[in-house]
Amino acid sequence: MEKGTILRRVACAALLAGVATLLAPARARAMTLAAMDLEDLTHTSSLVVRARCIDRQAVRNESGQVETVVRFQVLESAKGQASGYVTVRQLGGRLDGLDVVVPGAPQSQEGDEAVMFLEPGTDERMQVVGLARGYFPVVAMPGGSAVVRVASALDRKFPAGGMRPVGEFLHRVREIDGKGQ
Amino acid sequence: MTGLIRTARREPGVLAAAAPHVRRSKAARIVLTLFAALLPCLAGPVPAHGYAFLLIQGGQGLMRRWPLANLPGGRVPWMLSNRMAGNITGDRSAFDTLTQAFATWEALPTSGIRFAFTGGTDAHEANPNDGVNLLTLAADQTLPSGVLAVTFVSSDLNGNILDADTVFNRNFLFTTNAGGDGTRYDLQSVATHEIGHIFGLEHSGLLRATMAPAIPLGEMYARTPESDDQIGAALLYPDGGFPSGTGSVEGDVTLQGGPVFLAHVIASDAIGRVVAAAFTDPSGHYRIDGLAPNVYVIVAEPLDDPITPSNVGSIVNGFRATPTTGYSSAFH
Repeated sequence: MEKGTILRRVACAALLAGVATLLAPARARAMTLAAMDLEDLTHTSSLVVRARCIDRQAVRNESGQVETVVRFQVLESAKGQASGYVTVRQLGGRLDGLDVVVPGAPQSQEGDEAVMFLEPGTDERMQVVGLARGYFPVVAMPGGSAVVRVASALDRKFPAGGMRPVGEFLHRVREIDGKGQ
Repeated sequence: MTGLIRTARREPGVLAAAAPHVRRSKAARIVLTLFAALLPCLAGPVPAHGYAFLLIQGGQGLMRRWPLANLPGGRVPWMLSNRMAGNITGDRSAFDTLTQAFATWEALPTSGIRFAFTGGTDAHEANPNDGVNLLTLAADQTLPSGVLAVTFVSSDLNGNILDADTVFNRNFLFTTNAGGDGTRYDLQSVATHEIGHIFGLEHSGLLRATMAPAIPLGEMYARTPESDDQIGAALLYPDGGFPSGTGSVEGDVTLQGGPVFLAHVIASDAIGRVVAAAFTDPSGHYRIDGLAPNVYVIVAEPLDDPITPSNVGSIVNGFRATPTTGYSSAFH
């Protein structure tokens, strides 16, 4: 191997390692979000589901705030009981020429699929725990497998983070909830 | 465009899923050589930076910002709710702490963002229609678990911000201590972050930035905007001669010939300090502005850990596109 090639590869590895250090996750982090790992998310939630967005509508709540009411078809439940559909309140939305965004709050589009950690909101509707923390978009990989992205600090069972099969992820949630042993 | 930036312009970086293949310019080779020689410099902690803008929905990715010229005195007015809660303690008043957070952004020499405190109010809930930019520390609104604060940014369909309200979660303990408190969240840090949202910044993909969505309990570093935060504020409200003397790096990120949306593209200097970052648009294009003359290494990585596409929802929804997945980091 040429000396220059070796140098470039060493430099490349070192560079990526350096950047990875800069971007490395910390265990206890929160700005708009408090520190929550998978155990926190699971125990805080009353419902954990894999679901697909089938309908969404921006509305004004009783305080005049714009929010989006999103209906999901439940595909699989890992904690709690969901009867076919679940309605989730998401912060922000677009209504009457007003575009309201809440940084860090997920906004689902029709057809989106996600694993959601949910808790009751101020009304009958559910809300996502920890904004983006409790919302894991499901991605269809080439070949058809469904995965979610997991941060390396999320859970000790996923030390490397990255893409994990949805089934494995939900199994871990059940395990934490005491039902998957 | 000014500046002496010597990284490649509009030369495509290439990301590959298994074995990254990266086109390198002569400049990049020089940088890599420098980088290898300066590896020991990376042993200590280095600051990280990154900026991004709030975007309106509609497929154009239009930025949100205040029309300062239309505001009295060119300042964004804000009010503080008179209602207080017992979860905030410390050696300064909440008002003084919040005022300091606003002043931090105003002190940036390259940004013209300015604010004006217009008084206390009995209002305590966020409302996008009242024309009051409210900071409320004891709202009735129940925020989702695990959320320290949220900011509601309302704009018209041209990206002009009309109203912005910040709600702090009364279920968390905050400190106003000038020296912080290791057992409480630092109100000034969280406020500085939220004020960034108020004037149009999104979350950063880099953890040491003020606009990163996370900070450890008791930490105070977010009180001081890093270079990427500063560049973001300057790009939205340029002042002090900005962008004179700075330049841009832009290019395209592709995967197997197709564009990569929401790749996190980072510009580092020759000793590995991250200076600024940006995200690719749905065409795979990125542009990092406000860079001082220097040689930069450009790294593209998936937005996967610990910042995810859900953290920068306004970008995803602003373009109404699906983030590209299934690739690993590469450099140029």
